[in-house]
Amino acid sequence: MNSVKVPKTRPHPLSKRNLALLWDAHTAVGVLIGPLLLIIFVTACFVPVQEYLTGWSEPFLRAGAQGPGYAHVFDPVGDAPVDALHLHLLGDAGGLVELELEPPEGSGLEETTLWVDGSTGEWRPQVSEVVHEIYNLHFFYQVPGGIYVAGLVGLTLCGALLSGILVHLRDLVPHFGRLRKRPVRARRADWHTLLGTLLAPWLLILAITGAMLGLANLYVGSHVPTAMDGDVREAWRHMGYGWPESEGDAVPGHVPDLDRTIARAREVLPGLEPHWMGFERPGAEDAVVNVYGHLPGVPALGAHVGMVEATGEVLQVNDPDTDPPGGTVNRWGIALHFGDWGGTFVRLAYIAIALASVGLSLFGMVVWRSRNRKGRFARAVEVLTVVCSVGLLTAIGAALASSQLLPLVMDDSGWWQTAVLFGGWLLTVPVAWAVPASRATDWLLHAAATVFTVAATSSLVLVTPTSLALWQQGRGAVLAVDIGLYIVAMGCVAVALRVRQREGGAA
Amino acid sequence: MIRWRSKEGSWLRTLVAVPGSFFTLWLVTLAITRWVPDDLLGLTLALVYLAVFLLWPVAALWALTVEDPRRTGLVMLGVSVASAAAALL
Repeated sequence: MNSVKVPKTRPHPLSKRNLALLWDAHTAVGVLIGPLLLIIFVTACFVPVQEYLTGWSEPFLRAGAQGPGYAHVFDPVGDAPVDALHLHLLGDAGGLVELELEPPEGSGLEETTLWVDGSTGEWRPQVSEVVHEIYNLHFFYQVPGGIYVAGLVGLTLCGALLSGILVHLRDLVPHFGRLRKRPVRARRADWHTLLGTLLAPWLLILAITGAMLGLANLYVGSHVPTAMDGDVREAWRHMGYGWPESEGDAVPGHVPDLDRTIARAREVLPGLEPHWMGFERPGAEDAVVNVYGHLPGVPALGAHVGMVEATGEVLQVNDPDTDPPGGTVNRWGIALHFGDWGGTFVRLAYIAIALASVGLSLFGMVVWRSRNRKGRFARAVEVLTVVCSVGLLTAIGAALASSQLLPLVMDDSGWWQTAVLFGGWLLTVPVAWAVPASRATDWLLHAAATVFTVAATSSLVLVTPTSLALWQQGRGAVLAVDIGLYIVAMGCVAVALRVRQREGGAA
Repeated sequence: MIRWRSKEGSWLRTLVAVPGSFFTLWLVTLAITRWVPDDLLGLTLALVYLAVFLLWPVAALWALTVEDPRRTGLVMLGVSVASAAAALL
């Protein structure tokens, strides 16, 4: 019988030299953008359900509207001078509206945001900014130019994913699903490879669309002086962002007819579900209203009607049939990035992808740290990793808990809630610095479990109306958020126990 | 610091691969949209917008592994300058 010598390991498709270069690129990118990626991934766990979280965190929204309809939505405006009125229609909340009043330029007045019950005209100033801040943190909006940094991180993530695929090319299929028990470092490396393999297609889509969203302004804007004679509006029109504007003077006390505007928009685009509306210079002769919304079967806010407020004359329509090519690319980019294309199931899947991505990043960091035990740089990266993952999660939990508890003891707690988010996050730095990473992770995960439990329990029994009372009224969204927060708390405890067990095993 | 596996890694190689390839691609697309007929501008802008973000990671990894980063860098510089000139003409 002839025997054939089979090599124990197949040769890598890449040359030794290229493999080493790509390994270095993969490692360097992972280490250098890791903390920023973790901020993006942790906040991404909350962004897909931000509308539910907003409804959960605002006492006025929890109470819900007295009835459907928008007959009194502009009652709070009165005779206040405004240049524009922007409305965010909260679809699942009866006649509830987020109303922004934009004062005339140079008036010295500040933009105001109110929550309004369209059926009665009852209103409250917007208090909690926590959910907005979490959303903004996903794009680093708090930092000047942060959106461009987020775009570059997305772009760099594409490089990390591609280099990861290339360096593991030999083992991706034959060793798919392999999780070696010993040594611990090999098991963690296997987890990193497995998660990376499973997530690669989805993360590539999210990274590319994230880079496009983050850098669109800069990239498309750069073509304006060379290809469009400096006309910025032409660039936005090509990208599907254009909208008609008014130049007249708004008339104080003028009350736009919201129901008639919605009816007219639906005449133009049958089936339109308005989500966002902007009245520019309301009452002026050339006043314009722009209506954005969902069309059945069209991803993202795929439809827009711009018209003259007084006459309903249509000035611009954007829908899949009339969109410019850039508009189609943008619409799909937004839909794919935010999971705005397949309902609640897809949004929950996006949360799962974000959570798994946190795991991917952390396993990568742990493997790298185990090979780089010495030096201040490695320790600084480790501290940043803890702060930007479990540290941020704890701070978000504390801020969500504060959004429930602080309104019970003070009227205007908005600033304090934001302070809890960022102050709490800052406090995790000395914790991560003072003790070994595994212990800091353990402590912070337990702290996160505590604050998420406090947040959910406060909503369940303390805040008026309680989520149980709302559930009995047939409104289960708030209770669903509570359940989600309990699941996060239990997940934190489970991971903390696992970390403790593993560290014990490794020791 | 990061422990490197390759003996060939250098600042020049990194510079060519990361910002170099990105700005070269960007400038090439500026030249394309400058000279494309007006009625094709919208379609071209959408295509190059997609292409830059899809191609850059591949271009960067390729540029990272070239034999001679100095020569590749010079070629990229030449293409960038020519594209910038074509875009500004």
